[in-house]
Amino acid sequence: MTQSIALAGNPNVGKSTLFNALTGSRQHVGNWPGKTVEKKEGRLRLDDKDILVVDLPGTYSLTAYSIEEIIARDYIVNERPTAVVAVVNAANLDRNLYLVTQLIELGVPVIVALNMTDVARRRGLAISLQGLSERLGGIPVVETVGNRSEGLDNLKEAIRLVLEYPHTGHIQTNFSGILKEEVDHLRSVIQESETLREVFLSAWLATKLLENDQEVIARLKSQGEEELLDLARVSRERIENDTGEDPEILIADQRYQFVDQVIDSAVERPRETLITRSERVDEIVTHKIWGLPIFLLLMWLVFQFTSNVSGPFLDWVDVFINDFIYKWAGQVLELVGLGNSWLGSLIRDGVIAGVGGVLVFVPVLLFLYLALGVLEDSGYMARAAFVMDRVMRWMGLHGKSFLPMIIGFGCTVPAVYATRTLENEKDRKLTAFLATFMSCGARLPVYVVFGAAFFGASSGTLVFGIYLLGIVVALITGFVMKNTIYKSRPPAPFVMELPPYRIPRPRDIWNQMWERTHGFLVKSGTVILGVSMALWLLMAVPAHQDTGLFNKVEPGDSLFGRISSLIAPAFKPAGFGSWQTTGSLMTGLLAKEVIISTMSQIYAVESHLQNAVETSFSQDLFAVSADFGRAAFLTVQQAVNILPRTINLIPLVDIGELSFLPESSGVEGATRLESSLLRSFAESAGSSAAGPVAAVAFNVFVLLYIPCVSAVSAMRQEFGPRWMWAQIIYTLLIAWTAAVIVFQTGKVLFV
Amino acid sequence: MSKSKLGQVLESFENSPGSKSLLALARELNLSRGQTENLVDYWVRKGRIRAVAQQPECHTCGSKKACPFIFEMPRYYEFADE
Repeated sequence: MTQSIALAGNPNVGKSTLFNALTGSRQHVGNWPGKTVEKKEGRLRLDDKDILVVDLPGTYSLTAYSIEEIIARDYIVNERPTAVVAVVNAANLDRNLYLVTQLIELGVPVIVALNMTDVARRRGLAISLQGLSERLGGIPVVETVGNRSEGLDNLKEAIRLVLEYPHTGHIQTNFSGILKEEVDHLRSVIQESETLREVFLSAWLATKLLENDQEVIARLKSQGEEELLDLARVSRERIENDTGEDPEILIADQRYQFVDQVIDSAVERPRETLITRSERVDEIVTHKIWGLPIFLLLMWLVFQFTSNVSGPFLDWVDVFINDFIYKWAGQVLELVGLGNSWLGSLIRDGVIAGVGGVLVFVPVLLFLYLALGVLEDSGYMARAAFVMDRVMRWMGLHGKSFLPMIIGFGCTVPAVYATRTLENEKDRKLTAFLATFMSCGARLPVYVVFGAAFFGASSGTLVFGIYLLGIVVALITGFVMKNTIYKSRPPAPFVMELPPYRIPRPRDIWNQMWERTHGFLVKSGTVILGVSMALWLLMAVPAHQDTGLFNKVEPGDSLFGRISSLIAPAFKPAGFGSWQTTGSLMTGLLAKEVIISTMSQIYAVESHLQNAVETSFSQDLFAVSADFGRAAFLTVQQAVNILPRTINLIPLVDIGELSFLPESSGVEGATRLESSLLRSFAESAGSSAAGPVAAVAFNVFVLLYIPCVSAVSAMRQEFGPRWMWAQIIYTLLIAWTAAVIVFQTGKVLFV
Repeated sequence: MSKSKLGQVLESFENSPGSKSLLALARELNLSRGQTENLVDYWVRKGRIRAVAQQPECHTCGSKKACPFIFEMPRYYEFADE
């Protein structure tokens, strides 16, 4: 007879990885009979024997509540594998051992594969294999790291021994009182029946009958075991009358208690020391007075790092895409005879200028996600949430509102859905409303471009200021609404867990950086590409037959230019009443990154034809490569200069910054888009001096005006059209008012 | 006889309207996260507690599901009225 082993375990514990490692390519994938659940079988060669290995569906227990649980249990009870390998996540034993206890209760030889032990060790958990084995009735316990194939030989050896000398564990789940009496009573009845004894382990069957397991009851009914079922019913009633609780709950509860006892005796946790050390840091970081300034200082550093340190590579990517690729793609198009065609224009002025204009920001995002990854992985972000929660409660907002609002820094759409965690409809609406003022990641490229163009080395301060303004506007709006239309009793503090601090792990941070940047790249290749092509079409179509021909029209005379010009005067009091900025704000309703891709397209068409310097391909390639090296140097320089810049925040202190390279290095100069913005904003604001003020007003408008169409749809879906329109009108009004105040006041003060 | 841990979990949801996060419950009942997951999972399987809708995947932001400002989305549950 073929020997067989079954692999059982919770979902996501590395069961499939171990299955693959044990069976290699000798696998068969099908379905469980009559079910749509996948069944994987393979062969393990051990001591010249072929052993069948069955991968059971991932389950948390062996009750009869899900199809996966029934399949796993039925296989073990009916097919009787020679042994079961219980794969458990060593880093989450509390959760995983419940299933192991149930497997042992089934009376089948069990081997515990303690998987993911590397993760458990990193978390400071010390697990005694011997202690665990003893508490689980002497069954073998083997350490494995499935994804590195560690411990595989030991597991095979344990399987070989169990197949040779089968040993079933015996555990004491400490049933007590009337529960123990009734289990013992039913066991003795089952023991008397030869047919039942052959099929079931008496203790397991007695427990299942007391749990009122419908699958087992149906099976016994079909076998004519009515008398036993009656006895079980009486036993259940006796337990319920005596304890006031459902026997099933009592049994489950005692199993959980058993798991707790096993863990107490076999696992050492470093909790106390870590928490003590973390608590000492928290005394400062989450301090009532210092907590907020520390949070603000760290955020200031994040935006310095994001804006300034990424600057040299941002400039390099800009030169690479918008000069090198743009120019040589044009040469290739000339060669194939498409140079002056509409298709050539679409590729250069639509796709390269539009998508390229946004791809330039990949270095910014990588640096932002690096900085946030370090804060997140170290455990600080949870403290930031804690500090902000206190501020929000002080403003009269609900403690739980902090979560959707902080999610709003990433993206407004999940922030709106995250309000579902609030029980009160009014709080939900208010929080979703406020979350739209938290500056989402998609708006960051706008601030970075304007910061670099108008404020140079101080661009990080502009970005920081804009983010802070978003929080302040949200808090003021919340405070006003909470004390007028949404008046209610003061909110309760929100209970939250602060995890211990730890040293950030480079690999985890890199994974986060890549995952998030990848999302941005996908969006560039889909939404932004589509919008860029549509925009190119609108800019290629003349508004009137007298103004030009298709693809041979000045941007301002195109359909897009004329439509934008109609709305532009509304922004004149805010200092950015040009058709270019108005058009960008309109397309920005689709997605905020599109503001920059639109500007790149508009200014590319306007400026590329003007500057054509004759250089060869090899000269350009050499220049781009040399600029890359220069950008690397300047990045280090910017990173080092964060220190003097931070110290200079102290009044009357002025430390000089370091300079590794001469000022006139190629990648440091203003990009084409930046130069165009300087010119365009000086014109619309009335003077060069007023240009930066108008730029700040424009950024304030971008921060506060209607969120993108996806966020607006989410609002409509959650709260209905009335609320959506209220939000659109309110954000538009507040954005316009704030931008006008900033421009008019700024002009009086600084120009 | 003192109330079972499972009973305490259900009672906690019955007595406080609205949703509750796993971590808040763990703190309230002085349990580890794994223990709390086990106990909550039991009642979810029995249909007495239900998970509050998970965060939908965000298609509009570069950060997608993993919000740059949060470790892990908290899991919320609520009492399921019958």
